[in-house]
Amino acid sequence: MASQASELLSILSDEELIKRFQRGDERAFTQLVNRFKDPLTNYVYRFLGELDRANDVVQETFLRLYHYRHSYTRDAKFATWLYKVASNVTKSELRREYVSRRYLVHGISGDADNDWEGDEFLDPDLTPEAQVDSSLKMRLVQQALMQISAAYREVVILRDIQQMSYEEITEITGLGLGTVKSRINRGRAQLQTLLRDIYQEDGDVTHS
Amino acid sequence: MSMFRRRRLTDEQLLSIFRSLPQAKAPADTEERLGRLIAQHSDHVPSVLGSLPWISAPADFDERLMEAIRDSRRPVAPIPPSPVVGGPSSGWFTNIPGWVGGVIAAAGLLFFLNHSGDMVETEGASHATPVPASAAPVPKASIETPDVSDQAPSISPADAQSRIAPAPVVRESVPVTGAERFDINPTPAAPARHQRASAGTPTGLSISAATPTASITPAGIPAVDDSDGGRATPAKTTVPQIPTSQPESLGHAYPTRIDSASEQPAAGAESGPNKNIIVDTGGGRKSQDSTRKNP
Repeated sequence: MASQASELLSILSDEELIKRFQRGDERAFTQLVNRFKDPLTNYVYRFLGELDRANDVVQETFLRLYHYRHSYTRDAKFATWLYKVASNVTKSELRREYVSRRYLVHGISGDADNDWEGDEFLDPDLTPEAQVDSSLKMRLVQQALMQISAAYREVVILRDIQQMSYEEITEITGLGLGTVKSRINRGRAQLQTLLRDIYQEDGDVTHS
Repeated sequence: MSMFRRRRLTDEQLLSIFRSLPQAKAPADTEERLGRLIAQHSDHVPSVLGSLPWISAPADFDERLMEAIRDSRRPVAPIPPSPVVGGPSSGWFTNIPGWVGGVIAAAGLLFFLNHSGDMVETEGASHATPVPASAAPVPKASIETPDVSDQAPSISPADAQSRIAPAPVVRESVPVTGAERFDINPTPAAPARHQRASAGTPTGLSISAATPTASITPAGIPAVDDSDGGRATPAKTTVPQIPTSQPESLGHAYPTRIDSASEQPAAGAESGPNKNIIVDTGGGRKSQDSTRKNP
């Protein structure tokens, strides 16, 4: 009986699930968490660059969903609404980090190389050499992402990593379509420059 | 342009001339080069970003989330209401506007400034040069030792001793100290507590052999109890004991003493044992502190 109910919930759309949750069905909330916890974790991690903080932000996002479930209306897609919540929480976290780093001589996070924690997400089927290459590439790309401004980073991640459409990005960010496209292009150009430099350094180091 | 004006070529003639010009063609590898150019500039980034591994939530994410939800659902104790309904509370005090606080502070400052002179005078009076007991104003006495100096005739210590001879039942109690020992109502106009009688400062009822200005409540004269609103309490007729020594400690405010020049103790004789004599007149228990005897 319970499995049938979970199967029924799994075939429901996000909007139907949140509607059920608004009516008091907490299993719908569990289903929504199962659907969105990984995409949100990936998005927030790429935005913040730290896994622990990303987990906290995603948890805070779902807490807000739990407590403010009735603030969602059918005007928007549930996914974009939830991404918008996560984006706001992430920006608040970035703001807090900025303030704390501004008033501290040394940042809280320390060196990004020492705090690297992305290796656990590498494909285990890869050969050891491929895993090393992939780890290095992943680290360099994440460093490049963290170097561009947050306004560009947000739209580039949503577009190129989360594979969202321009319309969804405009709904999440609240920006116009032209602004979104412009920011995506500028962010990509900055990343291109950074990654080219990084790859060059990497190539020099590898060749030397 | 002048050539065209002279010949007056029409637009159709111009078009035919342009069409007759040789057509320049793009090289065959234009598309390939363009694709490479685009990949170099922007398309490389989406492919790199798209190939990044997917970061997933930790295994205990659900458990931690449910715990956080349980914690957030826990009821918070309400703020206790003000003890006085409609009255101020500490919350009210902290939430008053700044200008109200400023007004209160200004009023307090004004009050302080207005009364600071009085404070200085009082302070100066407490350290004033001691005056003789006979010359000093006699403060108002309390119930046990009412000041009737202006009512009763002054008597000499010897006379007083003879008149108070038939004392009521007197029993000794264990020595007490501090407030218990001086169970006498203080006089409002009495000087500060640190003034000692030996300095000649009036501290209540005093009898001096040379200038017998102080008085003793005569037997039968009802004493006035200021503490209970001035009601007459005839049963509390007190029989003062002529002290044989100064009180050991005048730490309590306004002790009643009877100074007698004839029985003035020697200097340093204040360390005698405290004997608290209870005068039992049937109307209650009152203690007389000034009945200590020299050893």
